[in-house]
Amino acid sequence: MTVDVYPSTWSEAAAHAGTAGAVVIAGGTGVQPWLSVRTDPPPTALVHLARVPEARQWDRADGTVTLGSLVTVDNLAAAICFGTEGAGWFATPAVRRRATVVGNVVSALGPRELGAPLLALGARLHGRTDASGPWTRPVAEILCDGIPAGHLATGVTANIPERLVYQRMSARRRLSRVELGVCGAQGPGCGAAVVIGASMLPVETGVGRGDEFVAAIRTQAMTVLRDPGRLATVTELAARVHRDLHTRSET
Amino acid sequence: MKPTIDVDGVEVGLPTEGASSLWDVLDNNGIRIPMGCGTGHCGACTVLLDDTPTPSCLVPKGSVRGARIRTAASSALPALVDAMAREGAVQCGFCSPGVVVTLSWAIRLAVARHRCLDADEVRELLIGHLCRCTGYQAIVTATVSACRNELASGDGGDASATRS
Repeated sequence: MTVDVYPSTWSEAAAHAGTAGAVVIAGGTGVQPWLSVRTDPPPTALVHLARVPEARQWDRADGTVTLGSLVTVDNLAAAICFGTEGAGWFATPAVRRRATVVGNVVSALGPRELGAPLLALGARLHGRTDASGPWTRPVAEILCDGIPAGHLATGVTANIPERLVYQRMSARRRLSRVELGVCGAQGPGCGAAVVIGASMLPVETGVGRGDEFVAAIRTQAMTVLRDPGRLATVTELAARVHRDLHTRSET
Repeated sequence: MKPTIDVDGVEVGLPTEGASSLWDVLDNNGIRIPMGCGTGHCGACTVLLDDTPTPSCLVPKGSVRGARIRTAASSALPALVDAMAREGAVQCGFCSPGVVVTLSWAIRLAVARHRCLDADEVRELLIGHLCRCTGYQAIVTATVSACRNELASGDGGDASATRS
């Protein structure tokens, strides 16, 4: 049977997370629907982070913001990462009040909607294991390979953008996975990202002209995209992102 | 000591094992709330969890120990229920409990701030609630009307006020 455990420090949480069959719960918005319908053996333990004080904290320093693993998507600290548009495009208001930024990126159970903005912000994920202690890895690496079994994600650090634009297409706004998307951010350490189905790829754009920006996005997209129609859509999205980054005024 | 939650003023025990959701706990204790998508998008199972509208299907039972749960049975604002009936904002009724929980909460918050919800704000609140019958407009009209009436009457000023 599954038991609930409530560690009060990161090191206790890492020890529980390292136990075979344990599942870590932050907001639970991805985990609970899976728990309710899973057909495989149940987890041995659900590791709740609510009693780890640092998990709710966030910090803004030196042009970056660091969010603990219980900071929710609707938190104002997280909003810094999503530009003037905010995260209103993400799920529903009730889900945004519970879903966490870190959980969204590390959970293999959902579409990882926040992956593209965090890639564009050069984000780094912080975690730890019981055996080897804390670690920090680029979010790009986590989105590609997932978080290793037994590892605990403790927070994420992202560069604060001067401006961020995310142009995307999905079957149903807010409720469906982004099928094609381009996210661009201006500011130190920022860049861009392209979304093609389940693939999220970082793009190094530098401070280039519009055609250079679009070319960089196309080049990266072509590593996974063969369909000319979809490539044309990505190109158009990239052009819009560059235009919006450089011509629209902040409101 | 067995962990508990307070549901509409009644103490309900939480199972100490298993991976059930808050909705499962309520259902197993005879508290009937509609279950729609099971992924938090339809809003049918919404309850107030510590005074915040939350789809109960998304909440692990282990994360609500000691919490205060209010269903539509105790949190519905009578003025909203009356307005929804008057405007024809209820048809099959499946989504209504969740809609009423969220909109009653929003009206109480707005009135506590001495302001009225506008139609756009109500539509934004309804993003988390799927209704296949009404087309939403009647719900929007009823909510704005109820909020205006509450503001005029001076009721609903306590944002956390619910019957229990």
